[in-house]
Amino acid sequence: MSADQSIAVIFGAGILAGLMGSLTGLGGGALIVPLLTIGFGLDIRVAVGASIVSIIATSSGAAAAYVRDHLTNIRIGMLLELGTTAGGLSGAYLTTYLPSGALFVLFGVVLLVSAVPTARRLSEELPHGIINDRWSGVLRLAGSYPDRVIGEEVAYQVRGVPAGFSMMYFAGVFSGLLGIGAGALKVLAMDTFMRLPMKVSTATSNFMIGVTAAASAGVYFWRGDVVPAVAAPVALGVLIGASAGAQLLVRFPNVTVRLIFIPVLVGVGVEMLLRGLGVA
Amino acid sequence: MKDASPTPIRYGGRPMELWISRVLLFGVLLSTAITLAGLALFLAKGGGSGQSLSGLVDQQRMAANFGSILHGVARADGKSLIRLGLLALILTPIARVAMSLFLFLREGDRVFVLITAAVLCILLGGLIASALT
Repeated sequence: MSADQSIAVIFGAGILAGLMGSLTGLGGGALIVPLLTIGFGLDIRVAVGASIVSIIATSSGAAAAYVRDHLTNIRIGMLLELGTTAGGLSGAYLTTYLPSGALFVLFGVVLLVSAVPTARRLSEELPHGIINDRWSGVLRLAGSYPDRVIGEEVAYQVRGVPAGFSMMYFAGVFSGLLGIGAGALKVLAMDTFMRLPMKVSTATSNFMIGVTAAASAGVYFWRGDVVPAVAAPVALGVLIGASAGAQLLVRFPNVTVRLIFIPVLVGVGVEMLLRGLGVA
Repeated sequence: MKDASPTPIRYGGRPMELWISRVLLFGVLLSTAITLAGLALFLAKGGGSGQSLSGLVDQQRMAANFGSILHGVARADGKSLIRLGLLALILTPIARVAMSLFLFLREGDRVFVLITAAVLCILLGGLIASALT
């Protein structure tokens, strides 16, 4: 395949990555990295550089719409970003001391295990009986969003703020250590511990992953691992896919969003396991 | 404690959401325009004809700094224009955090001013430190 044809293929994959990434709040990195390493035989650092660009593009492209449509909870996003960026900083310093293979395996196992409680709530359109915890009250984290499917404003409260914040710190550590967005942990923290409506969880995760990725983007960018011929078609494709995904999410019921999220979560979990075991 | 009535946060017409959304949209559009122009220029000047993607990657994989990017842009070099567009993309979430800080300041929300300022410091510190080393 000539380089120009490869650029066209990467552009197409970017559209798909942006679509899936914006709907699930996971970013599109999980699709981009194996395509570039296994598909095109490129160095992992070039793939991660492109993946960081794809995460920022997914996040910014979709968040413009999610924030305007009030799906994103900005206060929860800002609070949890403190956890991820602080974790990312610790992770970047720890990276020389810890074996990345074992960490990828650990991360993969965590994702696969957490698919179980998420799958159990498959039929739950909205969480019920959730009462603000102390932190949510103090920090005014509760919110509401206009649900176009139900046709009314859905108000929600928030619990498990300390647990969610701690998990966010570890999501940041994983991001810094492994050069991944760890969006899955963000969605899971909000869905499982804080019990937000599914669409609010994915939209708020989507809002945050751009900041997590931007925290480590500088290193890859100035070092030259963000290669123009690869990163440009990724960015442009992902921006198109993410804008389309953002139009879809507001029209989907929470149940559908979860139905899309679970197989993608399992797929990312398997990919991380394989990367840890040196297969991919 | 029985607090069954949730209090949705309203920012009096919600300018918070509107401004953050505008910053993100501006960053995305600016970055798209520059990156697209760069890619078009790169392809128009022959692109990667006659070689494989990995060959092209080896050729383009070099450390960048702001000066080298601007010099390249002045020479109408497609690669440099793409780098400039991607830099605008990377700066977009950071600009969004800066805008949030301004909005929380204006609302006098001290706790969130501190939270947002801490995030912004970590982000800017990381970007500047990586540019200098």
